[in-house]
Amino acid sequence: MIAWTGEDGAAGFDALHEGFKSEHPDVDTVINDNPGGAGTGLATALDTRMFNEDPPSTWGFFPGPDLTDYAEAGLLGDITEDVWEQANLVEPVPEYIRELCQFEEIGYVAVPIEFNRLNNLFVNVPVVEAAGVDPASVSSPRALLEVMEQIEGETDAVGMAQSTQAPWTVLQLWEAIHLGEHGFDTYTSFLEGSVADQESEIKDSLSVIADYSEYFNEDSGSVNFTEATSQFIAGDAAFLHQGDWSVGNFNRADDFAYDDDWLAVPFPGSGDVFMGQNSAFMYPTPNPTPEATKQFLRYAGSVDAQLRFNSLKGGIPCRNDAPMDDEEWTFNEHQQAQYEDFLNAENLIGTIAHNNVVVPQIASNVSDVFSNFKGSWDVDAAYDGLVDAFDV
Amino acid sequence: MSSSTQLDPRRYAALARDGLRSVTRNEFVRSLPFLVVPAILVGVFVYGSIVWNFLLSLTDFRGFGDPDYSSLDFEMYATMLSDATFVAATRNTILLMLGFTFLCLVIGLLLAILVDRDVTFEGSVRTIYLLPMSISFVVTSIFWAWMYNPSNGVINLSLRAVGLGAVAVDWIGNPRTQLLAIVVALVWQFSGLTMIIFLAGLRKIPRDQYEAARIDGAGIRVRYLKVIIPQLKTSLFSAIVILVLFSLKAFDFIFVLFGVSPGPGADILPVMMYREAFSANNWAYGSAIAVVLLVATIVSLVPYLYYQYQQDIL
Repeated sequence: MIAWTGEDGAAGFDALHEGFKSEHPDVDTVINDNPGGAGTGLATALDTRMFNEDPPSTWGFFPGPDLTDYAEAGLLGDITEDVWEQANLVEPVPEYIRELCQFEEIGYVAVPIEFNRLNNLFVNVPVVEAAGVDPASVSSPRALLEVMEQIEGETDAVGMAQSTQAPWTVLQLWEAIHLGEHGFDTYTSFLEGSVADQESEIKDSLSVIADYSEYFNEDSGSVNFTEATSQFIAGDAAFLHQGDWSVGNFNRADDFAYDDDWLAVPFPGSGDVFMGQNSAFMYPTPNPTPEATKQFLRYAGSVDAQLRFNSLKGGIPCRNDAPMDDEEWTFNEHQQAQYEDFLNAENLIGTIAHNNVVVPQIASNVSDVFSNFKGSWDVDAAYDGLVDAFDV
Repeated sequence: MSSSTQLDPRRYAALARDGLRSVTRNEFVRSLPFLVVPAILVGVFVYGSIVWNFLLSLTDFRGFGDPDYSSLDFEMYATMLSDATFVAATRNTILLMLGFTFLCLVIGLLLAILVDRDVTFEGSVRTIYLLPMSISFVVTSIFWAWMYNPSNGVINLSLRAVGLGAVAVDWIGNPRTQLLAIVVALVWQFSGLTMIIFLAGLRKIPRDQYEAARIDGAGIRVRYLKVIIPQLKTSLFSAIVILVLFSLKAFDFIFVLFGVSPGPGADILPVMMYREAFSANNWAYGSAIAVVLLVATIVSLVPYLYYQYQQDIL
């Protein structure tokens, strides 16, 4: 089961599937597409099947604490020996991603397939040049406020193209701000539930994003993230905070070239961290095709599979030994720069907005908090909501 | 027992045969083979599911695995009372139901009267008004989002063009106007259906009554208010039931626009139910919300059922 049914996602998965079939022509495969709702269609269909103890052979989605409910119910199987050891995945896959793919009481239950950076600040080059600002020199999320003010004063563009229609875009921006403003340790302790201990820091980063809202496009509440991205491409905004999946939109736009028209810098203050969204293929149990599934998972972890999938989908491989200069599966300059940052990052981490770091109930509660916050920008209420969100 | 009271065995057998024959000739018994199968299917898959859902709501089941039915309580229902999200979703659900139903009835009735007055191109007008019904919520939610766009949406552009720029707000971005924006879009989609229901009612009223009222000197307003509309009770109740049920289907519209967490300005109970069940895997709480929705639906149907009972058509 997959939700990668559109454009880059579909192209990446098709290439991966083709690679598997060429290595294992004897294995029959059935692809069950579940498009829509940023994966909610897949999650709903999957929950129903898991309830009936009728899981698919595998599915592609978010590993980590998002899988906790399945793991606790005994619905995930151990592939430590048959997949991770046989395919020699332990060494090339970084520790953070390995942790997402295993549970202490089971072992490895998933194989990672992609990592999309989230602490990006995409920059519209002509706009910032017209305003005379250097985005790479912005030292913190708060300092970006002054830059956005300067941009709005010097050009017709707004500071940041943003969608506030759904809470996840606001939540992921706040997570980047919290990380950039208060550092990796504060951010990770927040993810572990230390909310009251960092009241002033959380309120501070909430107030920063509330101030950012003054520099969003006027219709931020009425447009989705793709439409906000279009405004950035059109030069109506200087900055865009999004995951690497937005690069696909940049590439499809006319006359919007990397370096000349857009570039990416790490979100201010978070250059030493690679905050990303990880997707993986899981191994459920009882598995309808245990041997074929393990064959697929061994392949999914291979260099060939990671190159095929990520070169087309826009993310980066989850291994530290993937050649970026492969002749067949090429990576654009942005991907190459991101992969370099990935290899050199002091820390890797995920986000609540993309279900990699907390259990589903907390993720849902935090999402509720930001669905309130994005309409009111009430810092105190949002802080109180976050305190309660972790109380499950 | 005396021998005089004992039945003759032949007479006893004849009586038994007659009894059996009368049973087999009974309409109810004869219809049983046709009723039993659907009754079992509906019983298991509808009423059985409702009972099971209610039982789930009495557990504290979350995640996967098996629910624990050994200790049942009303904890989930107690939680609702102190849950601000539930209170907001309930308030929005009720406001949506009332606002949507009322506006659809008023606009639908006005349209029906208009179409009923032998306007030119009546068939085309009827089709135009009914057409939005045939469009999926997914499509309408997207193009209403475009129309509501505060910068370049047709609604705000129109308001600004006629000097009403002060009320050209961010309709679906501002929590204070989100619900109104949703209601207006839904009314646009469903007032055509309401028109058809009222039109059917109007067409059943004999034309003589219009004529008689006119000859008696009643103006058009009085004719409709005093003579025609009072005869549309059945249409009115039918329309209310359909509209109330459709108002609960606003899920699609809101889900497409805002996803699983619309926020306090647009959250409604069906969306909250889905969120609790399929995003948070909090099945017991999701089931409890489903029970509340079911009760709300039944309660909203009671006046209609009572009316039908009074009219002896239930």
